[in-house]
Amino acid sequence: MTDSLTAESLPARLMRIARGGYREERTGTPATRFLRHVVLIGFGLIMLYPLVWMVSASIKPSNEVFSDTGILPANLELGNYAAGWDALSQPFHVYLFNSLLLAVLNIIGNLFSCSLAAYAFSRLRFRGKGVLFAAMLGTMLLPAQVVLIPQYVIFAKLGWLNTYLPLTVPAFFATNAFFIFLLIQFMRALPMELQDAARIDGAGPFRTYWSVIMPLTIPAMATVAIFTFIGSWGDFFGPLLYLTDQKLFTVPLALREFISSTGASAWGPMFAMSVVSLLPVIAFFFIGQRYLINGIATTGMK
Amino acid sequence: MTTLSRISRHTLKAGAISAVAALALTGCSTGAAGEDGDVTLTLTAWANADEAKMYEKVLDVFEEQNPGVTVNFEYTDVGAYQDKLNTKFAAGSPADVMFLVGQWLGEYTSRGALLDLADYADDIDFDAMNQPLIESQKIDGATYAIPTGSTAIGLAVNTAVLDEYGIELPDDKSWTWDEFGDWSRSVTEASGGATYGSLFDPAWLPLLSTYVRQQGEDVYDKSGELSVKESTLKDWFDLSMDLFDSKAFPPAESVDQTGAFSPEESPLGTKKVASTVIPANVFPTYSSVLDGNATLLRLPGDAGAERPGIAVTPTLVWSAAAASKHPAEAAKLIDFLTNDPASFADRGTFLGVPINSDVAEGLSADLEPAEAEFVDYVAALQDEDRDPYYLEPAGAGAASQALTSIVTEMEFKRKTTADGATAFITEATAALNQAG
Amino acid sequence: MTAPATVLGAVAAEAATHKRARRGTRVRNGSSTADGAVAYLFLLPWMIGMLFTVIPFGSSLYLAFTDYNLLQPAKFIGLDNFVRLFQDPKIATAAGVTLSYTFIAVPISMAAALAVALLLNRGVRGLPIYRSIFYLPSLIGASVAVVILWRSIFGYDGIVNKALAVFGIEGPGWVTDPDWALVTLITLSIWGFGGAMVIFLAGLRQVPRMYYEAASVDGATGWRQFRSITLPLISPVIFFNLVLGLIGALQVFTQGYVFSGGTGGPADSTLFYSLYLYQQGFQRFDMGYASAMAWVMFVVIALFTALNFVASKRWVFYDD
Repeated sequence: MTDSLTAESLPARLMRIARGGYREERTGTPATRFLRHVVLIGFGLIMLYPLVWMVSASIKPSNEVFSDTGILPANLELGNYAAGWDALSQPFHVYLFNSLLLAVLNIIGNLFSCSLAAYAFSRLRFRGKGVLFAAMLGTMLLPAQVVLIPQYVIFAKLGWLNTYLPLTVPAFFATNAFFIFLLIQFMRALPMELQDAARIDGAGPFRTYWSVIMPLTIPAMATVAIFTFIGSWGDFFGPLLYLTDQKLFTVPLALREFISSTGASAWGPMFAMSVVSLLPVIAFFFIGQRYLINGIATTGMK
Repeated sequence: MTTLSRISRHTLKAGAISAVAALALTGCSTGAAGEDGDVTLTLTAWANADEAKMYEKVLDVFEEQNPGVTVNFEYTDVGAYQDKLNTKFAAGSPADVMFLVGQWLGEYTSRGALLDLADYADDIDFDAMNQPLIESQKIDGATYAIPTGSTAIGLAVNTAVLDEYGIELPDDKSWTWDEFGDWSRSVTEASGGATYGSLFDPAWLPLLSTYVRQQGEDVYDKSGELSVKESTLKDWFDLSMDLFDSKAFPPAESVDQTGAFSPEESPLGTKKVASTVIPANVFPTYSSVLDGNATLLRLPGDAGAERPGIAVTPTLVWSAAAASKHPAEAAKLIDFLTNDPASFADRGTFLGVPINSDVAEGLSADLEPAEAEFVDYVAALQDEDRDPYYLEPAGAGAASQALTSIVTEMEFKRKTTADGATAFITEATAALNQAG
Repeated sequence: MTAPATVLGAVAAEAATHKRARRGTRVRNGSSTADGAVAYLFLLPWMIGMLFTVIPFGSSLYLAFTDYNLLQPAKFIGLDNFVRLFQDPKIATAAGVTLSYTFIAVPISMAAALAVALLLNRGVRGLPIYRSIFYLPSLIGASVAVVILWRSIFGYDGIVNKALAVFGIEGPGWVTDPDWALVTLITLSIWGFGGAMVIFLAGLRQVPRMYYEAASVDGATGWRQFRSITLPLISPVIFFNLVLGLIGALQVFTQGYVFSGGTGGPADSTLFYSLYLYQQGFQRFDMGYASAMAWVMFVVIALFTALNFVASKRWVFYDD
């Protein structure tokens, strides 16, 4: 299937756009360009310094974390990682696993439900579309606090408190309007001819959804997946509200327990566990930053 | 008769209700009791990681004694403890056994959230306990709380620092608050600012109560009303702020109260200050951090005061949740924690002098020097037959939180001491009204 | 329940160009209800999800007029919660904290984001690397690990004060002093400007080069070009970034909670409105009052958003 304007196939074009076609031209004299780099590098170093400091602190002995101000530790204390791992009531991998479980469930739920809804809004025609679409946009502007308490009460009455259900089930019901919107914008840009062609071939809406539109939406789905992971991994408020059993705690809650129960006495292990907690996010970021950044910039497609 | 058992048998003023002193640091929790069938009990306490390990050991003993019972020990730091407990109660999964501070007891009893342990006299041996102490904790005739032990507040002093700078130990039976200020400042000056003289939190209720009692008043009187005078509060705040300003205390900016302190990282442990006010039952922990170069002194101000300030009080209390699914086992647990010598093997007098005189007797043989000093300290106070504290009313916890905020504002000069005193009266009154 | 701020920005950018994009994808064939029943089948999960939003929305309004502590049935008390709310000194404190935080952190973040985006847009080698460096903090800024880190960096003995000491400045108690604690959190928020920066970068790329070329031919300088071409053409992006950024900042919770250990301290200087709401609803279990607080917040945000949309007509430029 080719676009009539260029000889490039449609899927290839979409992938190229998703990868981000930034034209890299440079302006200004060599002097200003150099200056630009100086400013950017300087500023970038300041931005990253806190993270570098944290890694450095995680391998210093606890009592030297604040007295030894250099980046390179005067004395190495790699045992911080082992100490931090066992410092709480559960070994740290329990918390890592819990967070991972929640993240995976949320990713599956979001991909499933949000793509279905986005497909309907962007590719199908039906009565009441405008109203429902406006309703969906409206939920994006709703402060979470307004629905928070009744939702908590509902979960309490259902007996779902202190389980993972309140933190995962909503994802399967397209409660995240932002992702729906992101997918809609992406799907909207796909030509209608695809659908018409599929219809002529005798495919019903589901087949069209599954075999034609979905494969082309993979870049946006990847974006949703990565954002979901990062959001779920770092979610503090949800687990804070619903989880009281320490065995079920996620990584953010475990870290907060850390500062709470060992407080000022175990800086080294605490920073070690902080580093451990941030690694997955940073890893996903490096792997998927193209999707993240270009997913945001799907405005580039017309 | 050993000192310990003498303390245990000592009768407190009949009919008087004692307040429990808040432990600034870790508390002890031990395992829960259980019966046949698989029973899991949850026990909550505040603790730091090291103390948690100590509790786990005690819990293991308990689980051995009661096969089929598992104890789930949950701990957090003292600051977050109340909130966590509240959340657990409201979420419908309260801890089976917990310890509580007197300030917060009223919150739970007023909601009917605690178990009347008298109903479980089969599982708890009340007779072996210090009777007046048990009586003093009764609310409306029901036994919601059993003291974990007895203690009193005191001033822990780093004697090594004093020796280093040639400062004498004061006469703690006769010194005044002014002399305390002078003594603290002398340490700061002699050390050139490397070590400050002292540090305490003016908002800490037992400490505030001490001063207020010395002026002949009570913060909360017998019927649970706020009864301290505004002028007395202002005097206390003036005294405290002056200690900060005159460099007897380290600068307010450097004192970070969030999160738990292990003794190693506390201002006293890190030699940032030479002395600090503690509940005396944690004295042995500090002493070991300071390699034994520590001693326990009485707070100033008793000499020439309307009446003595410090008194012996229960450290904390054990309570069980009314909604507990295994009340009998919870009761057994509390019995273990109070009456069974095996539960004291790993923790000694950490939670105070045991209220079971036989247990106390048994422990006295193995006391370490610092523990013995603690016990003697409490015994001496007990012999002087001082007025006990009154149990705080419901809402006192919220009032204390307000006080912490007010004190911070005064420390950073955002409020005058006069305004601070007025503010506390207003907010405490509101808190009591809202709860009661 | 949380949506990354960057996705908010994505939506902003999307909505801003929505008008332009829509023209290209208008559907011409088929009736407007051709897919009817099937569409509703696709929407079924979402509609169930909507129930879960709409019903609580309504019942929270009801709860706002009751005294409810979860354990006992709700008791209708009329306007008492609202009366108490408007007399509660802590509400004023919380509102002050939240508003100062929002109206200081967000404009500065936006300005920084725009400035860096402009700089990057001039063309630098290794742009993706710089972009990533600036973007990463915005992903982790609200994480517990980073808030704890910030608290340590700004502690009395932390590296910020040590750095200031090099210049002979004695730093305040950033974390312990009620006058400075919020500033520490504001700097944390500004550290996360990268999300908005990425949006601006994308928006800047939309501006057709020919405008700049034509302006250069006419003799317009860089600043003039910025004022007359760039700003108007990216004003939709600025608008939505700003609005959604402000709304997001008004609801901040995690940073306040972790920084202060849940207390809002020192001395209520980090008592964000949503933190106070949490304290009332989930520590005191005074859910009626917390619901009233939530509704007041909702009304304020709704009014604020509406005002912004009205104001936008004056300065936001859509090219169709």
